[in-house]
Amino acid sequence: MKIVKQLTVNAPVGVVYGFYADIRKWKEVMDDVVGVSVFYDDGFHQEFDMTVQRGSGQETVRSVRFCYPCSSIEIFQTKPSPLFTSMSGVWRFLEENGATLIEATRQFEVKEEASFNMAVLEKFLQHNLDSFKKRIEASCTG
Amino acid sequence: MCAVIEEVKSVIDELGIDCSKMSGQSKLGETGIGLDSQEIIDFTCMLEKRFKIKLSTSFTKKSDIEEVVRCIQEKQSPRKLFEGKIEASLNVNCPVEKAYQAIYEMEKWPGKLPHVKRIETLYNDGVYQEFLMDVQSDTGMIQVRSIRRCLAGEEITFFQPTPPKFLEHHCGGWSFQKEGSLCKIRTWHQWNLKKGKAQELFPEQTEERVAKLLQAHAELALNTWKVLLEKVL
Repeated sequence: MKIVKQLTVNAPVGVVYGFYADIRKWKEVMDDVVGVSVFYDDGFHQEFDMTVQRGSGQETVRSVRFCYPCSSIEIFQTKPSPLFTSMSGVWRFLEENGATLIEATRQFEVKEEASFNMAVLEKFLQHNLDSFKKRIEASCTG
Repeated sequence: MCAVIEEVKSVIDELGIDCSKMSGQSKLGETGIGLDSQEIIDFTCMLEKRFKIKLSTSFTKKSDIEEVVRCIQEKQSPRKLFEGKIEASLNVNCPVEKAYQAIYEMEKWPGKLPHVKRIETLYNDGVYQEFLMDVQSDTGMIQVRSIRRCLAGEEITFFQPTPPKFLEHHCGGWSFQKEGSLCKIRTWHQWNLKKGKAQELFPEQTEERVAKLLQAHAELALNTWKVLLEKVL
């Protein structure tokens, strides 16, 4: 299964990429991120655990990212959320007249299709894009 | 600047062009390095692949090396490139797909590579892999955890989340390119030193010793794969 979302951020591609690439900043940007433990980060490859608030509980997923400066960030989860058997994706950053078009893609397999609600996952991905847009544009306007 | 310019030279070298007299002021076109328009396009694509960036600039024959380096640095993340890098390449008499497949299928390594004793696959979706590898080394059995990104028939890149104790970071890769009837296999390693431990293990010429060690490792790996891939043709 796959979902794709796009959003334009009014900031240069280097700034937008920088916010997404710095995994330690995610807690400042996303209100549902409870904590991030980084195991490895050489600027191009990352392995980390991220704990997020989901309803009344918390979920921790282990992710690996391959980062291509100012171009894209690929992600896959070695320990995905309990609902999924696999989860991977990519953020692509495309320069558009001084602004940046972000295209976020997620590919996944769910454990039990009956209990899966696609709209919820779409909402999470949209929330990710909206939160970064808000934070980045605020930082650019001072 | 130095690290980037050396990488740029290496890319020009891959195009089969002598760049021994190249300087920062050398133009890309006929009055300098001698690239034609198509070669400049190829050169740009190779730079994007090598530096893992997207260059929005179009270079021309009048662009000089300093401009190329500046554009690369502008596109790179604020973090600098790695402190150390080595690479080695070899032409192997086999199809590209066969070379790629042999290095992609890590589960089969214990039957092929005498020093690899065991592989435990933790994750493999066909593109991304995570595995543990038990390796017999000069100092005894060691376990390596590797995470890889595999682009079929093209490139495999990897990093070690828990690198050897003298390294802070360690990553690298393999690329596969058709050269006539041969496959050119290139491998490279990049690293940042864990200063204290590296100096303790290699008190003199620390950086050079580490580079030599990884260079020897890369060349041994290439030569081993060449023998294996050509033996069963």
